[in-house]
Amino acid sequence: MTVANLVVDRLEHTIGAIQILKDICFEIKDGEFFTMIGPSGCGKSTTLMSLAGLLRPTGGSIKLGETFFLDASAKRFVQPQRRNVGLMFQSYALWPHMTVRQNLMFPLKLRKIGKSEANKRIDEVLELVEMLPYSERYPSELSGGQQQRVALGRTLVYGPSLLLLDEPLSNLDAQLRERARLWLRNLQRRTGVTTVYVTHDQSEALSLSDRIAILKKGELVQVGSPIEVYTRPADRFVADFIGKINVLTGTVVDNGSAVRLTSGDVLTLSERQTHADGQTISVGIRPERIVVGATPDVAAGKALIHGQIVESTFEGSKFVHSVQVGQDTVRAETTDAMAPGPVTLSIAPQSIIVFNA
Amino acid sequence: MQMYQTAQSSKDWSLFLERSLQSLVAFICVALVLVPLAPLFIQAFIDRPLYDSGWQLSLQGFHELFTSPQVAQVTWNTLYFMVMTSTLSMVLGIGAAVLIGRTNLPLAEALHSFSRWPIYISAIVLAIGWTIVYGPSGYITILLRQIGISTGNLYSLEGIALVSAVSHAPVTLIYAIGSVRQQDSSLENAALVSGAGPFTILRKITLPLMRPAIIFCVIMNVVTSLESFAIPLVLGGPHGIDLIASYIYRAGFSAITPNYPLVAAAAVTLVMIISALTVMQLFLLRKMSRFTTVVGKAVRQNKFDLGVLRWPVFAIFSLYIIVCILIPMAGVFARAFTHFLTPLIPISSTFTWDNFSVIFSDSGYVRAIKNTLIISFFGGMLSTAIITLIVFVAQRSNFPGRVVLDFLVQFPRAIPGILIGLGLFYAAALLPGGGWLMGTLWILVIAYTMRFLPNGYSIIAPAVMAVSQDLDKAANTMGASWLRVALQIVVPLIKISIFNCYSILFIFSVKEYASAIFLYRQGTEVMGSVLLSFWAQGDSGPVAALAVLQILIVITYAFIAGRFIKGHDRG
Repeated sequence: MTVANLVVDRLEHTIGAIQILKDICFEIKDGEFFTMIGPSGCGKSTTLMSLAGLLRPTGGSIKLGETFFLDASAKRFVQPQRRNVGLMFQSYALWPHMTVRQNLMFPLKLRKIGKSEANKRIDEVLELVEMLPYSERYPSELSGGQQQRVALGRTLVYGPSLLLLDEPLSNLDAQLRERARLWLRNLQRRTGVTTVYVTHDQSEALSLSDRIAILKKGELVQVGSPIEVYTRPADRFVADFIGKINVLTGTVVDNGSAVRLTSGDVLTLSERQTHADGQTISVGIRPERIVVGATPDVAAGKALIHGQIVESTFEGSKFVHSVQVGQDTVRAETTDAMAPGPVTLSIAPQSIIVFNA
Repeated sequence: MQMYQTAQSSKDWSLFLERSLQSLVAFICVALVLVPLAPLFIQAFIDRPLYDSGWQLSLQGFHELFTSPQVAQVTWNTLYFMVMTSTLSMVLGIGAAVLIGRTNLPLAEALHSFSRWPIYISAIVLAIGWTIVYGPSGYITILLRQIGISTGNLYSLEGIALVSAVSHAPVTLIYAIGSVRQQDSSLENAALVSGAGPFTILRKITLPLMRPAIIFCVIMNVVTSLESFAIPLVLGGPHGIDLIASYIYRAGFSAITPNYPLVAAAAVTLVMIISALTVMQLFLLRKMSRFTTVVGKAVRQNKFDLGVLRWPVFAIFSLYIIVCILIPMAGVFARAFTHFLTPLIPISSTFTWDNFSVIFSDSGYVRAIKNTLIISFFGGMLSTAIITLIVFVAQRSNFPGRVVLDFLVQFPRAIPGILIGLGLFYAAALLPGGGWLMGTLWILVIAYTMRFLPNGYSIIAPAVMAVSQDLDKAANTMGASWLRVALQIVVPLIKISIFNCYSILFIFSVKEYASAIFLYRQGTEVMGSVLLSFWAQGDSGPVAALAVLQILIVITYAFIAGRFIKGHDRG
């Protein structure tokens, strides 16, 4: 198989005066697991439907390998039925009047695959998605998790050049969802099919993806590996959307190497900032990066700040505390209970994310 | 991973074919609606028959329409009739709905199914049945006269209104009972707790909650009464009482020199009035369905206790069914099997098969039966196929004008059947090949398809809309074309609705007469047209026999269809 990268270039979609997609550009490598995430209305589903061809964007281009699926300037648009992509729906969209086998047979018949070869192929794929014993059942006779696996099998059976998944796990209950996530990840690795995944669940995005694209109001905000987007979010929106974060404001001091918080505490930064001293900036700190109740010798090389625990909640695996630091409230976590009252927090310079805005 | 490619070369071709098919379907739909209307409108604004050469624009038709004393009389008749029959039909339909749906009336379900009978009986047959038993020399009329009771005159506007109300009430019942059954009892319980009695609740809570359905039914009854044609013709004919639709029929068809501009002007005026009413009705229907979805699933309902009135109400209800529906039907059957039907001679001594022999030995009658069956059976299939395709283009394609189609298909509701016939009659006279078409059953199939287009569309479109679009899109991305998705994914899922559409079209086609009346010729008669013309000639025996056959065809079909549906319940 030739290497086929997916290139999306300056994709735009406008309905009337409303811009649904603005200048979306990204490239997905062959075999990559690429996730698009964002709040509802951010354009992630619109982008996915544009890749499938169920929607025709008003501008830009989409190219898979050497084939243009869309080239708006040349008025080129390939109909969905000619793209050979696999799209799996949130609702699974299994055809209720066909058995599992008939559902998988449909795309193979369209490709004029002989009966014996088709059946062999269906058996292989059903084996892969662990649904072979259910091949003669109707969709209504299957559980949600089983339907989800059949739906995935149906999109894989004809060997699509691109697999598009639209929130495929959102209809499963929480426990099943975590298992299905692992299973899906392994399956994608084994088949090596280039996958574009849409979700609004950040933990799904982090655990499944090779790279994540975060969208906001029709614009691409950041593209990067899960670790990149978590540890080096492009802005406060990304930081807030992927995981939890404390945002504090302060003024730059010490020739741009530290920040003085409103409480008077000074945080040392890992990199010297270009901002002039005295300028106001905001910094982000992940709650799990804050060490609570540290003594100065434990906190060697880290900033020590003082606060008051005002409220604590127990969440099973951890305690979450609201700590008053000056005028700000900081969220911090511990494994053991803490009494309300004064506390010291220590923060390593490399845990501090500086926002430009 | 093994990759299978779709056959690329043939695909451009199939895309082109697909678009061509969609265009063809859209064209058929537009033609079905506009071809009969356009000539009517042209004819209304010119000075001589459309097929004569050298015509000029003129308002002569409208001028005559608004100055003719005869038309004024017809208009008054129509208004008087409209008010009477609509009121009566509303009272009967809404009353029956509340009694059946919300009270502890005994045997409510049995009464419900009897009340719906007139839907399956052609209005002509009902009118003939009433004449046979309640007419001036009817069986019951004479029977009562013998014991000194005189009945009112059936051949009057009041008589026409009464029979029309009996004929229209079941449709009101169907809409009203839907509204009654989805009411939330907790609203009534709240009134009950605050001290209201059952009749106060009925007046202040139950009926006001039915308001959308009631307004909808009022408009529907007004429209139906404006279109009324067969009952006025059968009952009003002997005394020359005309309503607007039967006037158009007489002036445009049975008159020796039809005044075409006048007839067309009357037709256009009628279409305009009914269009306005229909637009209101469609608007209300949208509102009603919104109301329905909000309420959602069936709720547990309390039933009003009729108390001591339970059995008296039952008796009155049963008496209505017996007197207004069963006895006239019995009259038709009895007349079909007798030489004369009169209480003066015992029925057994006048028993005969002759009426049926007359029918089966007369080639005209036999042809009418055969034609009706062919049109209903095969024409129904063709119409169902066309309607299904129209639904797919309107609801499930990216065809540019599909939104217009969705609106356009409802339009034939605003055109009385007789005007569909008249319009097609004009169109056939104008268009090339029309003359040939007039002599065939095709013209009737076209007329019926147009007439029942809204009915069929209203059955299939909601079924298609209920199928998730994801199912189409999934097949689309896997390489299936529009037509393949329609035929292999959606059609199997809605096959019951398609069959229901066919059933309605079959039954309506067997009963149909209004749109056929201008279009049949020697050789293309149908049962409805023969019933009307032979009734006018006076011999009621064979007409009754033919009516019996028509009822039997509908009953047989309903029986077989019921079996068929049961057998396919799984789908």
